[in-house]
Amino acid sequence: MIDIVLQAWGWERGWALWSEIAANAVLIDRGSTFVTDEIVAGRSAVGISIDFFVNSAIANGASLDFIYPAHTGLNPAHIAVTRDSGNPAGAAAFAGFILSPAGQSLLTHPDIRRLPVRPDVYNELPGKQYNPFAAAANGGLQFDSDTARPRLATLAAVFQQMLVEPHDELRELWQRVRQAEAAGQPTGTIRELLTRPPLDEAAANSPELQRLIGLRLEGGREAALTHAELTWRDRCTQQRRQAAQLLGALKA
Amino acid sequence: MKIRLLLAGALLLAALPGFAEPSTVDRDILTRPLPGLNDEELQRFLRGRSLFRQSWVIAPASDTEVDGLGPLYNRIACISCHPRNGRGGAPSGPQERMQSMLVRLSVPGSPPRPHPVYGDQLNEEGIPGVAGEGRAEVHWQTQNMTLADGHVVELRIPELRFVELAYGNIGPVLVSPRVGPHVAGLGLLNAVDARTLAALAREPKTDGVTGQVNRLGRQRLAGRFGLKANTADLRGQIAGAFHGDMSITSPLFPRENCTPAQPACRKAPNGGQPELSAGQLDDITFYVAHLAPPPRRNTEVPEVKRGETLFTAFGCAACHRPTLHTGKSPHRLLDRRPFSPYTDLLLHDMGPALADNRPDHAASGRQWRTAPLWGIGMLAAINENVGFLHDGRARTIEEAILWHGGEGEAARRRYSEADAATRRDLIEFLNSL
Ligand code: HEC
Ligand code: HEC
Repeated sequence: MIDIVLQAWGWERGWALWSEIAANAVLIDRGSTFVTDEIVAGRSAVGISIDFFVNSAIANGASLDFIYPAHTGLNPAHIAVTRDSGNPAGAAAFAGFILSPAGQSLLTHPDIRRLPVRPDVYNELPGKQYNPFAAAANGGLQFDSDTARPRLATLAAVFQQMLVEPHDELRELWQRVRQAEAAGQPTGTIRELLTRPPLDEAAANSPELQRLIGLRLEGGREAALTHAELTWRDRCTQQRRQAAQLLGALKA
Repeated sequence: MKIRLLLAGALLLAALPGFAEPSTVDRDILTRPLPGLNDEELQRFLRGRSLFRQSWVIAPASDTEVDGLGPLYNRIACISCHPRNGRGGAPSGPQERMQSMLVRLSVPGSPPRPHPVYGDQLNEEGIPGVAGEGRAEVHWQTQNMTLADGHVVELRIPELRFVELAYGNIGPVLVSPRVGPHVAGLGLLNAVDARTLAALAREPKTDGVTGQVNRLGRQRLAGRFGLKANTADLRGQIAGAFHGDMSITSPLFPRENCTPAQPACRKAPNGGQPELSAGQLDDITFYVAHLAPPPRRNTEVPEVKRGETLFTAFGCAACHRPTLHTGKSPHRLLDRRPFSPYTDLLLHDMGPALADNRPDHAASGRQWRTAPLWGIGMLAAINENVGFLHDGRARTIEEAILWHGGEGEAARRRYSEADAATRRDLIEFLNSL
């Protein structure tokens, strides 16, 4: 998800956008509330989520709307028959069914709401249904998975150090930035400090760094921070400190 | 690293525009908290909700908080059998697996004595290296019932056959197939005082209706949960579900659910001792206890109002008590309040056709706990394969009524002798619950 924005907007502008979104956001932990619940309850106006969570909530009666961004990415599900399957014919028949028009139509059940992989199935669905084939034809799915996959954990770690750990502080700093701007004061340098990622894109793509960060995915064990993450943390802290000083000088 | 999700735009909104298409049914109606939880309680409720929806994984796993599924189990999540906290259903025929249903087993004796090889529940699934116990096929027979006005209703009767048994012949065994009931409002039922239940049982009733409290163990605790009310409280019921349905150990059930005749099961790795911590058990119990009962709907519609009167006139309310009161409860929202579950939590002889002939503590093979009817009108919208009655045999509310026998016979007769419009009014009332 992070990389969708980075690829569509470019590295610098992408992180700048994430910075501003994060500063205006509430963060929620795994295993607690759902984004959809928070919005239905009116505690937030907009949330970022994966389509089927929201589309399923809507199909089950939640008062919500879901908007696919102009630039987005697909995370395809897979189906396969394992090599040592005890019942390869049965498994192949099942896979065949899942991929058939009847099987793919099941994906539109209110409890599932995933996107069918067959273009022909979309012809049978109501007009409001998002059609990824049409979106791709309009250039909205230019997501480069080959670049994204190896740096997934790296981007998540940057996001963590840059935007999640100092979240409370960032919210406050950005509020002051907005106040200063409302008062007509120049904030260009401050914005630059608050939105600059602690590393450049070439570094994020380096295989050595990616190996160092490893594969830290959701639900994995808590690992000690690598020296790279400690460096990012310090760099971001310094940038925030400078931004705070400049804001202080503006009396914002 | 703890990955956190991002929720953007923490704006304060005066009014949120509603986008839902008006025709969309609220299929999450059974998942809401009782109004009035504070922030801390709400966090606890949400932690419990995650556990109720969690797909448990086989140990050892990188996610140590939710591993320990099996070695033998039925399904991997509570919501598999209680979909959206609603009702499960029975397979449509022998070729279909039980998806939200289980089969209790025992050999004669009281309380039910587990089968020496297969235990007290057929666990169809096993983790790799441990054979699942086998499968119970459901074969349906049908019969027609003709109502007084000539209307014919097809009823179906399940017959169970065990196949693919992995641990040898099962031999003579008592069986009781059951679908997962809906689970909203259970904290209120949990808080009904044992003396209230005893008083309800003593009240004189017409139509030959009696009503008995199930009594458990040496302490003779009053039973409230399970379709024969064989469990006294919600925490015990939930720990029992973790143990019996998923083989997840907890402080109340510290040993894996394997019989001596299942060596591979006994040797399999576990996901911690216990697999479900006391804190997790507290959270999920808090969640289930604080699920709000479904709100009544369409109470002002004339059919519904007429149906409500019929419900009492037909004698349904003798067992399906419209109002109960909770006793003292440590939980503020459950303490001494009236509520409307449409059950008396008592056991009733429902006649030979519904009997499972498997006694359970004080419950005979013909007795069942009165099914709570709150929410019943929403169950078909929540699960299109819903099955009513203990084994899911009834596809509609009408079929469920027509199966009533024994103490429920007089009420059933009044229904089947009523004209079509009257019957419809009664059903509309049930649909409003
Ligand atoms: C394999 C299907 C299945 C699974 C999985 C399952 N349940 Fe159940 N549940 C049932 C059935 C069947 C009953 C009725 C049990 C009985 O009569 O003894 C039941 C009963 C209950 C009840 C009591 C309801 C009442 O009205 O008395 C609660 C509470 C409950 N389950 C919670 C859970 C929780 C929590 C989990 C997950 C740990 C769970 N269940 C997993 C099938 C299931
Ligand atoms: C003698 C007590 C008694 C009376 C009277 C009675 N019921 Fe029941 N009812 C029960 C019991 C016990 C069950 C559960 C039976 C089972 O699961 O096999 C039940 C189940 C039901 C169910 C299915 C509920 C579910 O969730 O599966 C419905 C619907 C129902 N009753 C409606 C009625 C109506 C309507 C009347 C009046 C015409 C009525 N009952 C009269 C005891 C009674």
